[in-house]
Amino acid sequence: MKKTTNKPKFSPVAKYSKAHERYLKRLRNDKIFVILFQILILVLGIGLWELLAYTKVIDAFFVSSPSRIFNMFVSLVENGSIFKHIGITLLETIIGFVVATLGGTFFAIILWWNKRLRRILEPYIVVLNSLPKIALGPIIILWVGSGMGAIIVMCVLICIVLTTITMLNAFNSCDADKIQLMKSMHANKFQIFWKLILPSATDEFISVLKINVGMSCNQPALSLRRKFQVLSLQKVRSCLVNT
Amino acid sequence: MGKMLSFDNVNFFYQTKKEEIQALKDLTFDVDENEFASIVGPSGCGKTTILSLIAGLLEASSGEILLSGTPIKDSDDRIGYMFQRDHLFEWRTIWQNVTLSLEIKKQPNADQIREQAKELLKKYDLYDFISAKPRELSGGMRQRVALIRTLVMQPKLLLLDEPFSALDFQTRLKVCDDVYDIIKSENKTAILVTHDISEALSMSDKVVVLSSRPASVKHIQMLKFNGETPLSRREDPSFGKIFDLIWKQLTNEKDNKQT
Ligand SMILES: Nc1ncnc2c1ncn2[C@@H]1O[C@H](COP(=O)(O)OP(=O)(O)OP(=O)(O)O)[C@@H](O)[C@H]1O
Ligand SMILES: [Mg+2]
Repeated sequence: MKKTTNKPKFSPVAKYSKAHERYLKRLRNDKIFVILFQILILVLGIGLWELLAYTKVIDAFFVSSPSRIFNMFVSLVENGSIFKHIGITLLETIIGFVVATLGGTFFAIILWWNKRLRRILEPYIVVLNSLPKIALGPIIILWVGSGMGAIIVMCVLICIVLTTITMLNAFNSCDADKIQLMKSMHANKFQIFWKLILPSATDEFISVLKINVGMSCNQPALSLRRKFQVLSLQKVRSCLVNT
Repeated sequence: MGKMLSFDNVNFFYQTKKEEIQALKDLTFDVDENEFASIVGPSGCGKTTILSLIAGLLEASSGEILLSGTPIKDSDDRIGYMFQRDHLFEWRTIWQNVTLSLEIKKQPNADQIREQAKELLKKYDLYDFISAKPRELSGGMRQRVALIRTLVMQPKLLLLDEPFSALDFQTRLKVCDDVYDIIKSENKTAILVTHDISEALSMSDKVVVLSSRPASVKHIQMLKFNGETPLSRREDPSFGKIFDLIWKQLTNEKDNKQT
């Protein structure tokens, strides 16, 4: 009796799931391995930086050192100003990111829609793309001042051209036969765009989002470092004055 | 039986920067209502061009194309176009793919069409995959989904451009049978483009043989095989003879080209 009730346990499904389990385990192990190594590289990198600064191989006045940054961080947390800085940086990042992503995608849509406009503007877009936008920094500071505005404009400038180009490429790489299919269903241009072109560019849009997050963090982060440096210079100065 | 489609001395030229390419030359043929017509011809002769003209994606350079007696441009009869590849949208579920045309053109009897689509999906073992994404389906299943998507448009005329060529032989025979069954039971008129003579013979009532580019009609073969399905029609004693005849028409063409 017992034997017969036990039997279903040894069904092919169980065998399959064991192999599947092994597969999942391998996946998990693989993931753990990758993460461990990533952490290791981080720790080694920071350790090396600290070591070089400590042994004065590199000048910590210019390149700072992990312990200095940590001390600065602690003191900023103590006087509470870190939260203001982080808030501003975050705001700059988010505004820059949103404006650049939406603006770039919007331009790409306009250029996809109007082929002639695309051909007219093509050389200018190429030039804009190859221009090192950092070089525009001084001009922007002259125009909009050196505050938050400049950082956001900079951030948008850097991201928007790339976003436009990437999204336009994505729109144009849509399978021509799929467009024919939509046309054979009597879809209008808006429907072709909304139901085919835009969704087929989802992957590119996501990668643009990732790139833009990175790049728009970059700009304000630069400014954040500047604030740190100003603070540390003040500190240095006060030290010098005291002695 | 009325005429569904007629081509009268149709010419078509593709315009390119370098030259003008004539794809169709004085093309004349017609297709009756509820008829299953096949078009065979050498590769690159202009078969897809013919279907694109019928679907209104291209416009004839000269000549007249009538759909149920009215010029294609003014006709509001629906035409379902099935391409060589299934072109299912990967980001949509099977159901969303099948009902795509209902989103594009609002239909008064949309609910009824949805019911019909569900019936078709059930009949061809696709109903369980209704909320799956296309990548989870096999090639044959995808092609059947593409056909049902085309049928949801409620077309009077179906255009099939080598719809089976991406399938392996076994699947191909099965899908052929299914497609034939759907088209016959729904009383559709269909035009099938294929390079496979036996496929053309097994499925159609009429085969139009084209010359190489610029395509013109070389021969029209009416067929009357015994058999309910494409597979059984292949068993007909006269199948081989007619195959040879059409084969000669096509290869003869190639010989002419070489000399
Ligand atoms: N957009 C185009 N511009 C210029 N020439 C074209 C264009 N499309 C097709 N052609 C030419 O017209 C001819 C007919 O093309 P078509 O696609 O109708 O041939 P086909 O019979 O469907 O070929 P296949 O058997 O390879 O599918 C070909 O020689 C091709 O080179
Ligand atoms: Mg073709």
